[in-house]
Amino acid sequence: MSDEEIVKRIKKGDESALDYLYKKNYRVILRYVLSNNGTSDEAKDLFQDALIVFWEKVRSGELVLTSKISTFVFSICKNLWHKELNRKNRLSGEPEYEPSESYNHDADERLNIVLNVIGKMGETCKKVLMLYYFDKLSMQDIATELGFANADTAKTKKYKCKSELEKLIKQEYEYKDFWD
Amino acid sequence: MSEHATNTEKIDAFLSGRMTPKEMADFQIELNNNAMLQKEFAFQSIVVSGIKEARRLELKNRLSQIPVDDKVGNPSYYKLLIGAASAVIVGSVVSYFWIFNDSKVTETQQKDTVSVVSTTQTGLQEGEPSKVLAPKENIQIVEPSVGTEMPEQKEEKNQLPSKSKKINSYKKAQKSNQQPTDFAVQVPDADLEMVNEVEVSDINIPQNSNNAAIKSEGNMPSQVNIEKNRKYKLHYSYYENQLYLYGDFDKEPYELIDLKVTNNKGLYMFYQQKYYQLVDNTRSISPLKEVKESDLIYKLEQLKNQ
Repeated sequence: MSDEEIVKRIKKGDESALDYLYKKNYRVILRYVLSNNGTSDEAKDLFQDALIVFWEKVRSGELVLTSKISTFVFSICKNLWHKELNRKNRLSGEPEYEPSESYNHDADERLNIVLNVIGKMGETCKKVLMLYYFDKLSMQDIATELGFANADTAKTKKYKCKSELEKLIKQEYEYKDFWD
Repeated sequence: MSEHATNTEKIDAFLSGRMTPKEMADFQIELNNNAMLQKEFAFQSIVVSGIKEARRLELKNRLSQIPVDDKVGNPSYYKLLIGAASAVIVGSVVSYFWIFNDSKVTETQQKDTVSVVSTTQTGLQEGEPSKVLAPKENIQIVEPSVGTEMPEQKEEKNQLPSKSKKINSYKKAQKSNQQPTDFAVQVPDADLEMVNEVEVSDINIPQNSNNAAIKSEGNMPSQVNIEKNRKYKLHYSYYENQLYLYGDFDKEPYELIDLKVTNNKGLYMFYQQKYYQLVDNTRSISPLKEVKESDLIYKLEQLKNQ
């Protein structure tokens, strides 16, 4: 598959293009991470994160590719790995510090609630919201991808799905009783 | 439009990155001065973060399920390889000159072929992916065997055909029976090329298909089309070498298998842990028919796992 074909497929929402990139380039990333104080699990995590960043950029139209995809993705991996190594070095060099438990717990708990509620939503609602907020597609593109009549239909659907999501989350928050 | 609705729209535009820089700056000022807006903004931030994280996890989960090989060659292996390759090259060059300069001519000549594959590797630098220099074609040294003493030479595997140049040498004939020795030295046409040591998956993905892996013994559709249709969940049509799949086939991988066993010859699909038969010349949208015969399932399993 050529680079142009890969970008074309990603723009259409074809996730198998990511699979192809993952299989094709994994060993290069693995070797890089292993030779830079990492493990194979970290290599997998890193490469998956890098490919997701690549996916976002292509989908949102932000990407202007001036090199091969493999080169670009490798540079994302290097940047992410440097940040990770810096973070590890910082943690190992600093005295032990326990951040405020209540703060972390609340933020994580809220995120988990949102993830939990999203998991219970219908597939179409999930897709509409994800395509809008993560892939950053226009309403017209969302309508095309999901088979809606037009952009207005997609907009209405998105509004209804978001409202429903907010309502369910607020119910959960009230139940958990930590929302001020 | 109510103030609440206006605020919601502004927050939505901000969080989804759809504001111009000026609009963002104006919104920031408004946010700093409006407690109600701040509260709504905090809530919406969590919601949008959750949506993005859910999508990220979805993609990550998909990639996690793809099997990849974690084995990487021991770096010291490459040093051994460099050493071995260097020894072979030096040995070949020495042998060549030794034979070239000290040949005994015989009446009958038999030629043995020795092929040497030379590989060199760039020094591995930290943080750089390793690269292997590989010749496009082999170097072959052809030499007489009968009546001459030759050092032992090892025959390497993977001999590739290449153009040959004949270099004729006419050394002093030792005795009247001796004839000039012919040497054919085959040299590669092109310079050594850098080859990325990356394994490329040989899964053949047909055009316009998602999540397809194909194991084939013969004829396969030239094109696979996924048609999203709310009415049909597991349906297909297959004619004129075009396969149409109706349903959510872009969410999970499927595999096409072309079976050539006489009794059960045809195209099959493995999807969601089941096998389905795809009958050619099916022009109308038809439901996928699950394969239930255990013998046939066994054959399909064998082919799938090859």
